[in-house]
Amino acid sequence: MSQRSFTSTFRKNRLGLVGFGGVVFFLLLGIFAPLITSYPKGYGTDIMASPSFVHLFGTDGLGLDILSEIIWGARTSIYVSFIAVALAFAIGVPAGLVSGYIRGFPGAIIDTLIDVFLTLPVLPLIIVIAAVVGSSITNVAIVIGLFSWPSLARVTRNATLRVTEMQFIEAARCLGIKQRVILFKHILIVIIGPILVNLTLIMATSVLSEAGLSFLGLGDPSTWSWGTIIKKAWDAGAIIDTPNPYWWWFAPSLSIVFYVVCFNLLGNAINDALNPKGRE
Amino acid sequence: MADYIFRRLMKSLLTVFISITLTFLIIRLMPADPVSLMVDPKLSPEVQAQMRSNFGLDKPIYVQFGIYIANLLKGNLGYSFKTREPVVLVLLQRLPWTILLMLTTLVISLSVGLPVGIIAAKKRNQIFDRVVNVLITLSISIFIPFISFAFLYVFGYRLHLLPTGGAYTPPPSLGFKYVLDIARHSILPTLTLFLGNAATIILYSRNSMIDVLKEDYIRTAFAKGWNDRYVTRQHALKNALIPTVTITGLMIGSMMGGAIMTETIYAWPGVGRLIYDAVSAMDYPVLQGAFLMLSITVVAMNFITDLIVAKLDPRIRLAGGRA
Amino acid sequence: MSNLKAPFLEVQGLTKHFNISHGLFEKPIWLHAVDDVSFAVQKGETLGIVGESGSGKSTLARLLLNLIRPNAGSIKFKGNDLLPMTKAKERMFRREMQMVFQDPYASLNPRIKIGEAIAEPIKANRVFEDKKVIAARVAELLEMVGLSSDVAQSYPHEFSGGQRQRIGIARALGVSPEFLVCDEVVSALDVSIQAQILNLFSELKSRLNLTYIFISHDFSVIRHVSDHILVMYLGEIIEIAQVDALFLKPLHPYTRALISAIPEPDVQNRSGKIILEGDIPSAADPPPGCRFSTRCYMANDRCRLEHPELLQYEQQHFVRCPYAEV
Repeated sequence: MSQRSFTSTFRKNRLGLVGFGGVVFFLLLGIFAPLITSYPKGYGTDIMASPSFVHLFGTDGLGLDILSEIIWGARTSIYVSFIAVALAFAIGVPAGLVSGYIRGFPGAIIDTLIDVFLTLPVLPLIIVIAAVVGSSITNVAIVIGLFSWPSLARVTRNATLRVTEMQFIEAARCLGIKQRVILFKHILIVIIGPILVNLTLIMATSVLSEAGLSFLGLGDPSTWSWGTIIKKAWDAGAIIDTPNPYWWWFAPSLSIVFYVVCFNLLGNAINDALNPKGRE
Repeated sequence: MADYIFRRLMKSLLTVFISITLTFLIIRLMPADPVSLMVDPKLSPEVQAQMRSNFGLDKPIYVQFGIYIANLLKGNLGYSFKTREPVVLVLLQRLPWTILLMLTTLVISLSVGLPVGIIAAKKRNQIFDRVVNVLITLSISIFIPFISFAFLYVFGYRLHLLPTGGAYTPPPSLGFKYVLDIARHSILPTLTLFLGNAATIILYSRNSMIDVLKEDYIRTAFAKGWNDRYVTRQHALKNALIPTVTITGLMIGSMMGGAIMTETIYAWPGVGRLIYDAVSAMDYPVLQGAFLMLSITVVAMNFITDLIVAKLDPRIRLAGGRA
Repeated sequence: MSNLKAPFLEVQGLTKHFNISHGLFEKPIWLHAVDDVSFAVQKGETLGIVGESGSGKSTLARLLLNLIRPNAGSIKFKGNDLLPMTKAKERMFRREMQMVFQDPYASLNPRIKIGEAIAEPIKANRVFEDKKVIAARVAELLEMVGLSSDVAQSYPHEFSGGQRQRIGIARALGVSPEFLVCDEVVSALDVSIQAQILNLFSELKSRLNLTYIFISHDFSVIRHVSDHILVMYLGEIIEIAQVDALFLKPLHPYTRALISAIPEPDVQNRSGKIILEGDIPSAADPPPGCRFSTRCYMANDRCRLEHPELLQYEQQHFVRCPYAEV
């Protein structure tokens, strides 16, 4: 599959472009957050004010601007996504490559481990660990990343199994190419597509996990994250208030949904561009 | 088939064993002081010392592991910091509620998801299918608190149609009225959990149905003149069912995560809500015990799913079972 | 085989059985892919190995190149025992013996540029270290196989089957091997291209003083390129002879049937075809006695019960059939 046909197929996919645009948007938002708005802290003057020109998303129970909170929350989301993806890649891809290429014992062990971790209820485990290690945002991100590797490993392994049987891999062995190079160069560049797709999924779900953890009280109280905003709204009873300050919990929730949807669309588009004859 | 069942059983046992080991290691190897995680610092010093020796906290780690396993086999999961009750009892009280919620969600997700997916596959690319695809993408991205809040607000507070929390309105009534009351209370939590699960089921059943319909043997059946309904029912359905049931098994683990948040928001008295309360109270024994119990439940449900797949898939039933 | 000089490659009793049963509780089922194969190749000659699918020729090729480990037997290259293989031996071995593969559409990594694909084994085997030297070598190899050196910047999918096969040859020659195993190298090509590639092979052989093992199921191709021919059936050698001797006087009934099936353009020369009955039995369950007995037109009870040995008929002509003379 050449570079050119991938890019042109991808570009024709409008939803994919939306996803891609959204992802870039969040990236920029997160990276440049300090330049866009100041870090919300302390108290504000207007408490639970509805959206206006001054406060585009309204204010929360402490009078702080929700839009600023959202922007800084984007920064947290990007941070969590990248750490999760880095860890998942560092552990999952080698594990999948090795277990798909080397038959026999080591491969079977890794595969069994992958199965075990895919079966386990991961969120309860993360909750227990987060409760024990304490809730700095880095800790949370690392814990989430540590449990994202199995699905990536599975995808990598399945793809590796298909590719290992191909003649160009046999040829590489015959030509004296070292095993390490075969795995991390010859096989990896062929299977990078599905890996990329899975990575976008991990970026999405890691933010969902972080938001869930924050909502349950295990997030970092000193960082703004979309989950924390929602938790504060929940704690303040804003959900059941009438008249309801819906903007307080709508804005962060929609941000989460939008973030996840964009990554999903991007992943789907990459997947479709890789399999032009796939399921329409 | 015996081969397959044996291997799945071994894997299930291994998973449970790893859960047990993980729980053990987390407490003892994490930076936090293991003592404070297992022995309530609010107890008197004498009792603390007693408990410390009970848990063998002064002994080498493999001895501690042995004590831990021995305790587990006796059903001793420790004592709740908050209520001083044995953790096992607390869990067993709450577990049925969680199982009720999950089973109901599973059944409804499958009964709705499968037909929708199959119809979407047959009407590929038509309006029905496109709408379904959009809904799937949205549903997979759902953040449970968001949906729950929306539901609660609309149905609970504005329209006053459905109760806003708990599993039943106290005091618990008797007999059929009790069941109805629970059912009424379970509508919103089930609906919330259902959305994410149904989306995955629809996705998988649609895709596997499309794959099956493309197969040559289906074209042959149509060419032979068999009508649409018959072909779908006899051939395509069964083969599309297998991957879907398999993915359901995998989903059960992530459903637990969703259940935790759902139960918390709707105050559903299951293990999920228990976990939330335990986190707030720093009740570590309960947290560990809950994880363990949830793991065992998930593994058991997965094993049952595997058995169902084995029954459905003739490749497993007849052959040596390489699936 | 001539005993005058030590053979370049000598194979004795090479055997490979695969276990094809699955599951924890199943008894092993052994597939007899290659059974007790022995032969020798002299420097500078071409040994042709011919057989149908399932004859074991591909497995044999992979055994020779250490892509599969044998269950029994020995391989001697230039007098040195290759088995058991060690890292040091392997390093030397890969530079001396290489393989060209069958499917030009599958033997090149689609994501790696041609130049890189050819340069890689040169770097991996430490033939050259300097980048410029390597680049020059790549260009040299490409010209040797009849391609322009610009090709190095392109990807495999931009080329036809014949061109890709040339690239595969260039890649194999990068480490300057003395011995080349050609596994069905023209079987996947159009007939008109086959001739070109075969000519390239013979040209390279004389130019670089190579020794070949040439594997094919196509008798006319084998006849064209080989000095000696080895005929295989169900994992066993059933006849070995010099090429002219084999076609003049094929001894084994199987060889006779195969040769009679070669299409003959000259109507005058056409003789009756021998049609073989029955199916090739499974190599997982070879028949007792002669493996060809289930399809042989002159098999008798002794054939079905007694496993025939490979016997010498004439100088350099061996056959595994006691009734060969008939």
